[in-house]
Amino acid sequence: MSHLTKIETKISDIDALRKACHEAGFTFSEEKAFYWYRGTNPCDYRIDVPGINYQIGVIQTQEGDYALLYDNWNPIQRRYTQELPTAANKVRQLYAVHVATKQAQKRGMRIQRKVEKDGTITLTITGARL
Amino acid sequence: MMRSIVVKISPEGATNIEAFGFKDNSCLKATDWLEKALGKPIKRERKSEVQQQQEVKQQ
Repeated sequence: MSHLTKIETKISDIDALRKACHEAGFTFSEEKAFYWYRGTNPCDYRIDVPGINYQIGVIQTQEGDYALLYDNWNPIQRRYTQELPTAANKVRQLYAVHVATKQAQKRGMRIQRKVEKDGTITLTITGARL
Repeated sequence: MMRSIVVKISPEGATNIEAFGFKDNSCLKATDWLEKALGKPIKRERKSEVQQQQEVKQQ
């Protein structure tokens, strides 16, 4: 018997989030404010995406994990675009990759990483401790 | 079949964890640490060894 589990990713490891942003080519900083359609709002960390005026705010929730706040209005093009939502999804994807890799390495396991044609990242974890 | 855990993360950030090569409930313990580190399990599906072998052949 085995199983398949679907996970709702919760951002809680700031080091992994920082690495995810770096890999995506975004700037992760400890700036305490981010800029979006409501003007400037407070945040715990900030993500800057090259070429986009608005930013992604990283805000701690009551549960202790972090939410990504952003807007899909592009103030330069004056229309809704998918640039920031796509960037935030990329951050979520790479965050999960870095968390899984870090935890597996901590347990002495081997990890193989593969990018599929549709952009899905597959990690295969093996090792004597499984 | 060698025991392994396969994690698939879509471009939208949706994450699925699958355990292969386990013959009993030990698969749950084998992926528990990873599920906890990544977030919150929202759906779990049990699979038989036969199903798994068929999937591996199709890959």
